[in-house]
Amino acid sequence: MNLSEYKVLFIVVTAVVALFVASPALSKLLVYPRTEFFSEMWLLNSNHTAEGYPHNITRGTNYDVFLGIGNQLGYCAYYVVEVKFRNETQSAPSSFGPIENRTPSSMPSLFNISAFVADEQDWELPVTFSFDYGVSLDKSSLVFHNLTLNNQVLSLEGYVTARNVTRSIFYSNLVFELWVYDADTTALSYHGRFVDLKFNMTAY
Amino acid sequence: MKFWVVKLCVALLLVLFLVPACLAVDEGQARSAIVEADQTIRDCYLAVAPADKAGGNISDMLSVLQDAGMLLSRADLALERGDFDSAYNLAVQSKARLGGFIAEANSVKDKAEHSGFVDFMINIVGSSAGTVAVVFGSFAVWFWLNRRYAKVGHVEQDESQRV
Repeated sequence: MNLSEYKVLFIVVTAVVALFVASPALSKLLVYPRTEFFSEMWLLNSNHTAEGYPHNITRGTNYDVFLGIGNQLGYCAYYVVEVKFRNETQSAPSSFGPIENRTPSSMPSLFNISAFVADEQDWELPVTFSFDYGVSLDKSSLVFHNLTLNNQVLSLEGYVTARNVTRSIFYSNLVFELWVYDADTTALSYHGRFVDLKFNMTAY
Repeated sequence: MKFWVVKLCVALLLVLFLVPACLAVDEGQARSAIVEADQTIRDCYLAVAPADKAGGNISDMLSVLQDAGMLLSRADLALERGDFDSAYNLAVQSKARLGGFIAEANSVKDKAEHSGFVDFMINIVGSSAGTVAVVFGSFAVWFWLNRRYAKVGHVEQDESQRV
């Protein structure tokens, strides 16, 4: 019997067995390292799709949306979503350019929603809201009374929106800004992301 | 007798008016309860983050933290409305929700680190050592077989020469 005839078979069998035994280590070591760390934020309609968002708003009617956050930061994150309301002339947040240059809206937060999201996990919250408002005597502007958001009544005292002269609508904007807790500075900072709903507030 | 009844009524009325006033929470108390609850949430978050990094299952703990955060937000809202009693109560509830949270987070972290060590020993060290053993073992078997068959080959050759 000539053993050298079996040399190739022996090497192949050894390599296959070695690879099989090494597979647990290889599966841990041959993982492409994560290079991008970021957060996602989304707003979906009541059917969980990105279309048909509430736009024409009627006083006292409930509207449903889903607010979501995805954490790809590489660590468990403490987010705070600041709910803000503005008309078209008031300060809007920005979400373009480098994150450090992006600015939040200067409007006060009406309500803060805390979200603790583990790394590579998503978080979603059903949001139900309705508005209470009235039309000014000369019918040129809307005067807001309150916003009810997930059964929390938020005062909109002092919020007014004038009729947009070119489009002839009462424009307003519900903004959800994303803030993140920084353990080094022990403070919340604007995370450069926001989602919003643009409304035509109907006058009835 | 009549005078005694009047005095008792006055005393009862005073108690009825003064006790709630004494028990009412002022803005300062509500504000400090909110600050305390906020700090507790931050401390708990800082305790749970390493547990997540160690690979522990923290989903239940995060939902507790979520509840505490929501109570704190409602406390903030009540404070803004000037409802100091509600603000104080909600802040206290938020803090109470997190009782024993840090100890639990540390325990989850320790368990996750231990199972991570076991996982490392089995999957990385064990698997690497096994691979080295397979390769060297195969070479040893190959050389042993070579030597053995080489001898057998010589014996067979000698016998064939004799014939």
